[in-house]
Amino acid sequence: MSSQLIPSATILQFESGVRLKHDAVRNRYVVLGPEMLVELNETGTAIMSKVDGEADLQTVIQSLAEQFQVEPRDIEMDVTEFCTSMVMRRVLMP
Amino acid sequence: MNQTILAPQVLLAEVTHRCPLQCPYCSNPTELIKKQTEISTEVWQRVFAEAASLGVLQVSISGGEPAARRDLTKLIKAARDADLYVNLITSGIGFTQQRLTEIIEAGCDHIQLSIQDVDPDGAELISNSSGSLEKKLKFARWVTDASVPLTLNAVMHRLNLDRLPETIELAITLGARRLEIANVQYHGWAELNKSVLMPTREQSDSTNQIVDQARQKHQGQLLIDYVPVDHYAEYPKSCMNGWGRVALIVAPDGSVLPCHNATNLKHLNFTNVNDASLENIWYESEAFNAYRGDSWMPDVCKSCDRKDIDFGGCRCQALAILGDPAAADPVCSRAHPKNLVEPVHAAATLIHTKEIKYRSNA
Repeated sequence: MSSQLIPSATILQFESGVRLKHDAVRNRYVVLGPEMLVELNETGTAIMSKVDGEADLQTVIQSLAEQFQVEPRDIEMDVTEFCTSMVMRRVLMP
Repeated sequence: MNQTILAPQVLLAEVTHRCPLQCPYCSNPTELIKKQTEISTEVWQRVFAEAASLGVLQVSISGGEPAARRDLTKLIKAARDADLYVNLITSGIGFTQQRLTEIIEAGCDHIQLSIQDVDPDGAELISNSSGSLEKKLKFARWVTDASVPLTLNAVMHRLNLDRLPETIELAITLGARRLEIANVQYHGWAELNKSVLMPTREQSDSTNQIVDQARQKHQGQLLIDYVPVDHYAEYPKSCMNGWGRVALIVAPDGSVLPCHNATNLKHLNFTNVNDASLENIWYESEAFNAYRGDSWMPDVCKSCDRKDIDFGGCRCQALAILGDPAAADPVCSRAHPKNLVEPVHAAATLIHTKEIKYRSNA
């Protein structure tokens, strides 16, 4: 698989054995997977919170745009790149 | 150093030193802990709960072979009940499919399976156990059939490094998500077997290349973690990601250690979970504070811009090679411009496998 961006119709879901967790001690969200810990910033948390195994990338972008009151096209690239990197790390399934 | 001590993120729970295999590079200390002194299910339950409230997010349940404990399912359940992410580090020996199903139902999130060699004879030579490879392959298929993420942990050394490409192919064939290509770390048992196991300089160099190519080829499919031969590196490994910085280890008898082999450092006393809380041990104990920060470092490390990358390297190695646990890591080319660790060359010595000193039983 090359590192090209995932298509906007990709359904976003976690790989098996990967989950989002609130890290109460450090007051942040993290992704936990096989001997893997991904620290999330505010944006990363907002994106990952919308991963439900049903919504596709486009829907997630739309929903984030509404939440943060911005135009979808202004965040499209960043969200797509982030989700692609999560697919490459096998956090999300393509 | 007055730097704030960060909360730990990882707990390595060595629940037993017992193991059906006898690999001559075992990471357990040469003085193995006996079954009679292993801490109970209830103590482990408390340890997992304390670890989670301290900030630990991941636990790796390891050994020895964790399946040697009859209460393994309960231990896994306790760790998961504490809301920890549960990794099981296993040889795969001693499992039936039924028992595997039980531990998955108890909340095991991920399984890391060790393999000694892709060649059955090589695997038998290293594990000193017949048919071990076949059993492991069967176990690997049970894991992937159950949709649990599988990591293959391939410990590499002079006798199997030439089969690294086949090892990578095996990980793909088995549907592993991760592959750890871990060169032997020469402490404890491995130190006793260095003359047989230390790869040649040539092997080490070609490994680096093979790993780079495999990462490219299998990008997005197989995640590859690579531990190079640190004796051939220019700079020290970031041992344990820094002493008392990220991880803590609870040994089978309840001793709390900053690294697997810390008991080699005889001048330190390691507190037991029966005598103090994990929190107290992590933040206050002399052993955990001994090599934290940079105040213990020799000047050459203290003034070095890499001290936040490798945290001064490995204390056990400094003791083993230089006789001083607070010395600069012997691997470091800045601290020791004259090479302290002599490379082995291909034609230099014959390998005498009869000289292998197998790990004894706990």
